[in-house]
Amino acid sequence: MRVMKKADSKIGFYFFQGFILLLICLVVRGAFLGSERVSGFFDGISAVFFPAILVLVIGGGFIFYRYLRMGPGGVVGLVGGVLIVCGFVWGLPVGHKFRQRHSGGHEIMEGRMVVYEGAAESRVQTSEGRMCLPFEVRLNDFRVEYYEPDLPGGERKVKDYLSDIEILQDGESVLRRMLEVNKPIHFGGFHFYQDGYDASAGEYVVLKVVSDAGLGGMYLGFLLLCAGAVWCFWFSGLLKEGGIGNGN
Amino acid sequence: MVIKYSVQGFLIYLAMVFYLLGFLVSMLKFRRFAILAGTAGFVAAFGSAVYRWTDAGHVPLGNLFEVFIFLGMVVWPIYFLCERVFGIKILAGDYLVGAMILFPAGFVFSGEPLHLPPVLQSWLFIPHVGMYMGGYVLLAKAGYYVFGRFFEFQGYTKSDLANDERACYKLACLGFPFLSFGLVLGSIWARDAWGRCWGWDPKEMWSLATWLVYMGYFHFRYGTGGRFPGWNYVWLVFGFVFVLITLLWANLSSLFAGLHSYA
Repeated sequence: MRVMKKADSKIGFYFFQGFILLLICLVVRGAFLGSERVSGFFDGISAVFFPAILVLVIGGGFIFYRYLRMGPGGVVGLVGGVLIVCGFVWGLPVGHKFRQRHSGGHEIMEGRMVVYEGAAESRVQTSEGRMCLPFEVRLNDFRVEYYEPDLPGGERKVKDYLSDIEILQDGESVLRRMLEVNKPIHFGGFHFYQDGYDASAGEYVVLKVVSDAGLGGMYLGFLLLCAGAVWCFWFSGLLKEGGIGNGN
Repeated sequence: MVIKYSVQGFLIYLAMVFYLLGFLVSMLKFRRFAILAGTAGFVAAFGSAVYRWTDAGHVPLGNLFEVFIFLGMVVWPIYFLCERVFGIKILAGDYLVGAMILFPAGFVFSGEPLHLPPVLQSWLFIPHVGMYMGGYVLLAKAGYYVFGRFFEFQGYTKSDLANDERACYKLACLGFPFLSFGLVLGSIWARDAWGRCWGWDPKEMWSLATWLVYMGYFHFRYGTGGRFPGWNYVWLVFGFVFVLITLLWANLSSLFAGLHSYA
């Protein structure tokens, strides 16, 4: 067990204890505020400002205070955490605006499209107006599956929503898949989700289109964070510090 | 409070009786009998979970009733393995925890079978909830460990406290990665279901706060080198309270209506 000796480590220790406590307070405050108000808060410049502070403080701490590094597992976990924060910000409206500026304004971040059964569609309604995907989405079929009612004549609960989706590029079919809840279709940098349907006549479905920007970084971050946690706490923590056969 | 006059209810009550018996026998220092009673409690809780699975037709983790049956089932093997593998003692309190976990399933929540809504039908369902449950069981034990030991014998010394603190640290080390996996798997599932990894939902926020509390604990313990076992323990009790809030309050209180309200 390492014991802090240097005075600078002491300052760092108090600083980071305070920082973690502050983060806990902010997150708890966020839980009371509700998801809409908190996500609204992250629409503007604060979406870059606060994550940047977070990354700078933690990253700076690792550079300046040796004791914070907690071995290679800790570093792997930290890199994972930074990647998650960066990927998250890249996927936010702020990241989107940055990409818009560099791509000439053709980037779709999130939007909805209405696709009629048997028809192909590429227009997406976004908060910035109507935009077009570089390919078409065709709905071959849509159906709702129900559970058997508990009692004869009782209410039937929905089991699944299924859309038979085909992606067309230059008029040619390049992908055909069943779109289900929890199983979005991924194509051309976008995820497609079912967002609604024509309940009266069953003629169309509403698809939610979400850009996958930043997702690769986040997933890599997830992997590193988990690897770091296992390394730091199961291997280093349990096996070396006070674990099996240590006699502690 | 509702008493369940069904096979499901009978199995839950049987498990509770065995766990309570284990607690009493453990307090009287009959360790072997206590372990037998704990095993019997586990078998009854396991039977209850299997019964629920066949009855409802899905893995019994879909609402709080099912989650508590599941917790009542996993609590015993986890604590048993902790002792065998890591030398973290089984306490009388562990049996009591088993009975207390099953109490809401037995008397509070409705046991009516439910059809799983489409959003809960995912391969991530079992790993996400299972990881959290495993983590919570371990971290909860870290939270009450010292109290449990304190009531078990008189003349509790400073060195006992230091030894117990080390056992608590091992429990936290074991449980914390499970919290991380649960958080990450939840994010991946949220992306698949709702189109974003993080939605600032109250349950998500509380689980992140819990994760941060344990980060705070590890940071404190690492920074002070284990010189303040009492303060380390304060962090763990703090974490225990957050686990309870995340597991229960975030679901039951109307203050935190959100996307995780399946109970």
